[in-house]
Amino acid sequence: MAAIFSGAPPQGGPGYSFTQTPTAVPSGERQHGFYPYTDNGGSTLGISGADFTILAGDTRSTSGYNINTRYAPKLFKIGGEGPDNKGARIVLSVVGFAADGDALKERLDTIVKMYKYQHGKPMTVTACAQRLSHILYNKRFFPYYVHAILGGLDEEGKGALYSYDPVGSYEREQCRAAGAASSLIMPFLDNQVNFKNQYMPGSGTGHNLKTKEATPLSRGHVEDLVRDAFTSAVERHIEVGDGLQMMILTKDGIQETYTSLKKD
Amino acid sequence: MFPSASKGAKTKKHGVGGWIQSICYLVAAWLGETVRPSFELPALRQPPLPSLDRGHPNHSSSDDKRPRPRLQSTIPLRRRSIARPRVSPHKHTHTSAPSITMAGFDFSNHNRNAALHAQGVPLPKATSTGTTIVGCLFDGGVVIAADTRATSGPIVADKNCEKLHYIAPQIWCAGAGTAADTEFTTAIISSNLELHALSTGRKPRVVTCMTMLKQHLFRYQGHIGAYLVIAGVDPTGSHLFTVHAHGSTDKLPYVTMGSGSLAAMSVFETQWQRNLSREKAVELCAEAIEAGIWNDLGSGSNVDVAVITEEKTTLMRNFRTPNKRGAKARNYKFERGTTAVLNEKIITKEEISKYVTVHELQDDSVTATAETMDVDS
Amino acid sequence: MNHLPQAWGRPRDDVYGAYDNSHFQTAGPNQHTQSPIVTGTSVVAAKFKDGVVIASDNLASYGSLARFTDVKRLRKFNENVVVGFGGDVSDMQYLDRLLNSLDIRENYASADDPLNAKNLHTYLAKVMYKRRSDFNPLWNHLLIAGLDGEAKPFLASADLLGTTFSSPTLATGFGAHLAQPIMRRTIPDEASVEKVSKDEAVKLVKECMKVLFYRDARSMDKYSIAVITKEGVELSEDEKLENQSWAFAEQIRGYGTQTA
Repeated sequence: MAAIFSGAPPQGGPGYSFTQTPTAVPSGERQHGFYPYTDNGGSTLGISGADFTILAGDTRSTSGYNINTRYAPKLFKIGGEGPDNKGARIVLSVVGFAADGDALKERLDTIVKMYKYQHGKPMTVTACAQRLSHILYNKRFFPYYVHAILGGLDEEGKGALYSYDPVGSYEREQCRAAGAASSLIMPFLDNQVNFKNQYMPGSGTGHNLKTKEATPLSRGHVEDLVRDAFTSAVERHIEVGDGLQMMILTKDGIQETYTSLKKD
Repeated sequence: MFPSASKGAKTKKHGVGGWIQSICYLVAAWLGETVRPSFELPALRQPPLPSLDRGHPNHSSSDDKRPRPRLQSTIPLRRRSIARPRVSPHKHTHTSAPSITMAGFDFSNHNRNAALHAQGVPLPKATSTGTTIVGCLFDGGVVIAADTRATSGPIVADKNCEKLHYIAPQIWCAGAGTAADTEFTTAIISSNLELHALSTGRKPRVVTCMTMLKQHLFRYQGHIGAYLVIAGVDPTGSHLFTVHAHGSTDKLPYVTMGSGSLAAMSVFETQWQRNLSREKAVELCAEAIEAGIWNDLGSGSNVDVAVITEEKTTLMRNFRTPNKRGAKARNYKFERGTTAVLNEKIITKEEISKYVTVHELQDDSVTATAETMDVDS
Repeated sequence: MNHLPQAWGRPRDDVYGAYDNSHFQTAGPNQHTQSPIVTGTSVVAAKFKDGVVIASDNLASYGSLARFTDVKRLRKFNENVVVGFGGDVSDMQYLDRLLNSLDIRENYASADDPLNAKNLHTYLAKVMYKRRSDFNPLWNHLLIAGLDGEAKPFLASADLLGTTFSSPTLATGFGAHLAQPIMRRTIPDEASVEKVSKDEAVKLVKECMKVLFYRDARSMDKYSIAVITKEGVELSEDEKLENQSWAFAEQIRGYGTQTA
């Protein structure tokens, strides 16, 4: 078969001429030697409390077995004033392919800023959360290769936390870990924030034992959990380390902290 | 000679067919491989599984953005200590295979594995190896050093493993590459070298060890993924070699291997000088390992060093520990009764004594433990 | 002999069978860079208290052939910025042209407030990300070195995928493996940048170029180096590596059992 379509004149037939020279590329799928994604490693997590939300992420950026930089933030303030986002009340964390993460952050930031200029009031987290979902789904067939977590305070002042998959499926949650070490951190969070697999000692026997009900945790408690989650992830995941960036959202604004992590 | 060829249950194997089969077994046995019935014989001459995407311990450039053949599978193996799990054995229903024990690997699953792979069954992932190992000669001896991180994919499997292997009292080996291969290759050569030393009544030589290793590895055409740094002192002096999985060797005054080899080499290329003292050589090797620990994700935790001189070998386990874990912010000890117990059965000491010997401990504070483990206080 | 030029220089059909014409892809769809052809290797750069040093060798390789030995891979944009190019040379030359037109456009209205390194990095990162999103990448890894809007040292990278990051020291290609460990020892973090003088930084980067020449098979001993400070750009394009050490070589005898 291949010989028939090779474009060469049949043996013994008329020879080459300019007009007969095959010009089109062979039909079929076009081959691309280029893969447009990479994984820059790292992990993020978010926990919402009664009147606060905490987002955190490590600051290591990797490619393969290399460290690109020890300080590349994964947490971004969204929709504040000017390039430093002063007075922002929403934080976006992105982990996965960093270039897509940056592009996504820029898009959401621009939209939230434009909303304020056009409507004269800041965008609510609920609205921002849904808008982010739409941005992600808009690129359904060439997705932003990121796991996003959006944090803020809802209209009632309660901590609000939304987590996303790369194509825009989203959900409001108490806590969520994303990125490289998510499978290490998430079970810890389930156990320590939602008290999964914990029962009230002495509340019954066998199946009658009462489960330990989740209650909102204090801010100090949650900060400790975040720190322990990351120092532990650093021990067991090679792509997590260098530094821990935390943003604590309360009614008074956003407080940002940085603590160093192990660098090996 | 070939017991199963005439095994009772199968009555078909008489006459010419059985005779041919026996010949086939003979041929196959001569080929040095475990034998399957005759109709499978062509498989025996086929090469074993192609090398998987086993992160070459000597670095593949991460800048190379061209897509690679997608051969990674979902079973990450441990970097060290654990043998490579095989695909679960598939029972042939037609016959029992002749059980001829021959030297070497059993490639009889190759055809089946290739067919399974063609159907989309992922191949078991060969161990991706993150390691930094180095060696350096000095006046009067040789130093080798290694990091202590063992990984399984991106997960740290062991934070403080040992990568310096004993070969002979004054020959030691640092290993990178497929975990099991470094372990078993060094063990078998250590064993053979011991026998050799016993038979000759002389101290084993480093070149002998190097030659045995390279011949062993060359025979397996790179399928044994052991990348080694060999160091030792013998009556002919102190020696330092590297051996690659395909069997090539190198003899240099300073060497590095593993995924952190470039980071480590950058230290040697900027700080090495000739006629180093023992102290300088140890420091230089430790620095080189640290370069790997900090700059290569596959390497981490502590630095192990071994110094070999004419007199003795000094193994300095955890020579540097720059990665101590800090205290946790909270205490995670659960209150007694937190875990649900659906039913319980009490076995008395008298009952259990029927099966095992029970010793009463004298002191309550002393616990009989074979191995200790870090537990939250 | 066949008189038709199309057949010249090709294996004869009657001897070798029909010629595989799939190589003729003249009027097909747009061809994109699927892999780099003529390439430059590492670029290394480090910040110091008053500015940034950046260096790259002058070699353009064609596969394993050292094809062009006088290719300048550092490009001065203005008195504030130098861009270093690793990867495909033709894509580098395209970017060079793009930067020329950008510079002319910027200066046409006014030359009062020239683009700084941060501006240029943002611009180039967006160009790179746009091209990767079009599946038509510019096969380069760029380092942008210079001063930012507040005249502070600025160093950041952008690659063919549009990934960006910044660090006190950066290196592309082989340099990421070999040079970064050397530079990170002296300048591990942003705080230590303040303690490093210009001379120390230049010495450090030159040391890296030397190690790269020892160990990178696609490198050479002629290189360019630029220092960007408030005083402007000092660019030297024909440096030669000095004080190489091959001391290790003299005692080598063979690779195994040989002793002489």
